[in-house]
Amino acid sequence: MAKYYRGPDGVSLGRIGNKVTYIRLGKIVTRTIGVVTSWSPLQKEVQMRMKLVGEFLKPVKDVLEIGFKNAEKPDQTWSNHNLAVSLNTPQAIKGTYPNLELDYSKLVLSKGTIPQPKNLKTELNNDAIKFSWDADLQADDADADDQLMCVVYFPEKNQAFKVISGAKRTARELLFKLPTFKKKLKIETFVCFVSDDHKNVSDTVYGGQLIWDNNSNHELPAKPSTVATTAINQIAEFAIAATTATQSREKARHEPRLLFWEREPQKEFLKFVTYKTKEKVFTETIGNLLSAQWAQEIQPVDTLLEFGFNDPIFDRMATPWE
Amino acid sequence: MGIIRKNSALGNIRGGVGGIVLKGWRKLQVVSSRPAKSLKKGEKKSEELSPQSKRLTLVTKLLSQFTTELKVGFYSKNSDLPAFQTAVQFAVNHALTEIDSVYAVDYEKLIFSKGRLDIPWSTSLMALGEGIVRLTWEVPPTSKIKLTGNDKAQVIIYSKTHDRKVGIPRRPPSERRLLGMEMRLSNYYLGDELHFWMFFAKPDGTDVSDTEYLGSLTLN
Repeated sequence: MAKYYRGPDGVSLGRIGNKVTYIRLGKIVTRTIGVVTSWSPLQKEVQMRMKLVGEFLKPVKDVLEIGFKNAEKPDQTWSNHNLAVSLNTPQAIKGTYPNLELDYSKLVLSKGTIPQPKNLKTELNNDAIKFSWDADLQADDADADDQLMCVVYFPEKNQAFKVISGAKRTARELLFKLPTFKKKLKIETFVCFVSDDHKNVSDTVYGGQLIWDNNSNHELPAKPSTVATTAINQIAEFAIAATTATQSREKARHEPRLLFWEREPQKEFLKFVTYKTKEKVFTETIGNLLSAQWAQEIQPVDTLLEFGFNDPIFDRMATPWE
Repeated sequence: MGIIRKNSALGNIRGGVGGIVLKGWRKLQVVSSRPAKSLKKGEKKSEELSPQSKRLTLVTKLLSQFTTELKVGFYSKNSDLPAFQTAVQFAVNHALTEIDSVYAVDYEKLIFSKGRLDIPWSTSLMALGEGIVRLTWEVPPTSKIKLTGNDKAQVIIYSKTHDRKVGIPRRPPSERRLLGMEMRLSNYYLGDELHFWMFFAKPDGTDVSDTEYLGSLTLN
């Protein structure tokens, strides 16, 4: 049953027979309802193109919302996603049907007037991706507060990591920590700059394809060195101390931070969360402890805020693993 | 297919009456015609199932054991298909292999959920002995752990040896922020080949992650 919209002489909204009328993004649209059982080869090609682009854009939706926020659109009813599909469907697909595939180097995730990252380099070192670029502050519209927005995409899993507000333009590099994958994986990288107020962006720059391979040098040392063992023992002491300091822990203003992890011959992982009080540094383990000395059960902290080796307090402990 | 309203002349009758069948379908009482005969008159019944029947039999037999997990994993208010049918459709299209008209399930491609949450990254699976299995996962630096830390892990275990779902007695805490869980499985499955999958679901059940196949192991 259809309902009249804007008075009795207005448009009828709803279903009449095999047609349905509705408002989509401010426009009144009518379409037929029916079941299509066969498609022409050309239709199938278009469907495949849309599927390839649509699947890629799905996990990077947050980035599109900023990347095309102020981009010029043909019509006010176009969403950011519409524009992304429109820009990528013809140009970012290579091959002939049915062997179509995405051309990652031509994908567009943002469009704006800020200068692009200049001389971008991406490297995979151990288990982190290092993005580096030139600040290029003398370029028009370049601002020292511009931040790097990056997408790390895994085609085999159709998943992506996104950093919306990363390092500033003047930092010249960003270290992006990856989980420790067990299998060989392809990684596609994209970056652009976003202004401090998120109102403007640069065009996308393709950072290239990286290969995560456990058989290469991404493997962490299988056995801790002597220095590392010393550091582990120190952390064990912190962990034990943490169990006896529950009350002061609750009162203290703490800053949870992942300190380090170490791969064991049995492929087990240790994870530590350290947090600071005014008097002392405490470390708690998450997961399973390495030795009997650490087998004391400790409740994990509520939040796990940051990953990385950046805390200067633990520089000497982190060194053996780098 | 007709829908029976309340206080109908048919009352609470269920089953076949003449050429029609009264039955329940998704909280509705409905009436439908009897299914048509699959064979024409004089046609001999084939001993072998048709390829489509083989595929559906294989998939529905496996997935029907996991309806609870599928209702969480494929929860959607707007979907045209119910959760179970969505899972069957995907499995038939993507998770079957065929060699000389013999179909087999590709366990790695089987999914029990589809959604927008972060998947369990870098999972590992280990049998610790005495029926204890440990699985771990990682949280990527880009994940907002304050928001996602309370996501519940849904672990799905299937014994290929016994061809049945493996329950987890005394289910341990399984929030994403714990980065792992240990579970003791029944001794009944010792020596079995077990397959493991997992996904995360929001505590209110409104969104889930895609399914991650953790691998298989022999329980010891």
